[in-house]
Amino acid sequence: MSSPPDRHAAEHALAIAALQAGDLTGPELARALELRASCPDCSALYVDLGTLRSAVRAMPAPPRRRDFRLTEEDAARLRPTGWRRFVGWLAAPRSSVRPLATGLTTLGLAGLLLATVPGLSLFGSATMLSAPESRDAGWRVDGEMATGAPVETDKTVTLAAPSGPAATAAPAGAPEAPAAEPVPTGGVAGSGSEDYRANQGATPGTPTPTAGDQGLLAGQQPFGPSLVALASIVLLVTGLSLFAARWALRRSGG
Amino acid sequence: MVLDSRRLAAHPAFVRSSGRSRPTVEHPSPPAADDAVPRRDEILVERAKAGDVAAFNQLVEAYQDLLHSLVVRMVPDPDQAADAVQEAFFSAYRNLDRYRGPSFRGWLTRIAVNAAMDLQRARRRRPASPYPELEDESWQPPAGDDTDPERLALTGERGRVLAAAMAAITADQRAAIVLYDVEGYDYAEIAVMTGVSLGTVKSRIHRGRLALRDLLADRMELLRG
Repeated sequence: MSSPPDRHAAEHALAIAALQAGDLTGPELARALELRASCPDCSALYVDLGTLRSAVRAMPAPPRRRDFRLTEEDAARLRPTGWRRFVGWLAAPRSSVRPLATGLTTLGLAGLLLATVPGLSLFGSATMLSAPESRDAGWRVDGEMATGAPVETDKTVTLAAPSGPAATAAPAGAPEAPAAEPVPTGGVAGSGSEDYRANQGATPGTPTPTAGDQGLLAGQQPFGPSLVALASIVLLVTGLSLFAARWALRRSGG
Repeated sequence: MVLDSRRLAAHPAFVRSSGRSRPTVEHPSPPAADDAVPRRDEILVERAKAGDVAAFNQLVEAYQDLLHSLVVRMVPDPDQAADAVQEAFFSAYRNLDRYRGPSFRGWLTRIAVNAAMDLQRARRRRPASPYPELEDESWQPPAGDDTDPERLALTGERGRVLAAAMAAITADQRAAIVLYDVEGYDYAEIAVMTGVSLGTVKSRIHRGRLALRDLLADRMELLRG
């Protein structure tokens, strides 16, 4: 750490350098001019900086010894076409391949995680419901909770179950599907169920219309976790392939 | 009286007014038709974009001396400087489609400055011996009409001393000083080229000059001659 006199000297030197460059205005300019007038070293520094500036301008440069014109081979290498262009993009030091591959791999891993971890099977349950249908589902759960009466649990369960052979096979209007474990849906659909009941004039605890359920079930099938898992695997494989291709190309000097 | 004229020569107003318009080898006096060069550049760029390598090489011929004289002052090793210039032209050709004007020369200069600075950052861990050609005649200015051997020797010695001092300051300070003092760019242009703030550019120039003065404190008489 510099001592105070050294710091002062450095500050004075910077002020003189700024004065010499013509960068000061107002009070700073007045202070620097006063400094130059009162301090012989500062005055000498001011002159020396001007001398250096002129000398740097006149500094000769070594002559050019290389011709920088491009050959046809250079041009072909620098602006390739077709598949060479793709390969060049993959191997370029600053290309967007790496962030792209990172993004795809991350998305793939995240998708696989969501699709395979049992507690996170978001894609097959309430999130797939549209707003009125969600309220519909919550209506039944609320009804059960409010009355304490056992509602037709199997229907609710069937609605909430993401997929399954029985649900898939059940025709519209089929009364029952094999019972599965209940899936909690109240957190998603609980709010606003009272309003809905009031508007519909329905009685709590009464089983709900089933036509919508069947339509919902029919529409739910293509978006099951298996599709998410498949898409995730595709993303993951694409991302890893990009990483591998880039690594191989750079290693081979391509 | 001598001192007065020296001060006058060093005064910012005097120096600035005699700045970029001063005719040098790198910057000959501007031709009467000032926009003929940009027009020519635009035509050549369009042809080069269409795949005409000869058109791009005409641009290389037009600007290679300019870029070399700039970069060789920023990069102490002339071989590395030549590599940086070559890389700048390669990069320009590769990215020609991204050029949007208005000045091809400015665009090219920016690429060259970046190439020089990238190269110096990359080689910071393995510094080459600075200015290996200091003992070489290449640092001598062209003889011209002045053939007085004593004067030529003095000029050569001055160039070598100054070049050694320039090699000793930081790469950022050197780049800022060369762009400002030698090439005549203003602070704002240098800030854009080097990707730093205006204040940083000023600071680098001031501190760089002070560092040069410290290094050459006992050789100032030689530089004044």
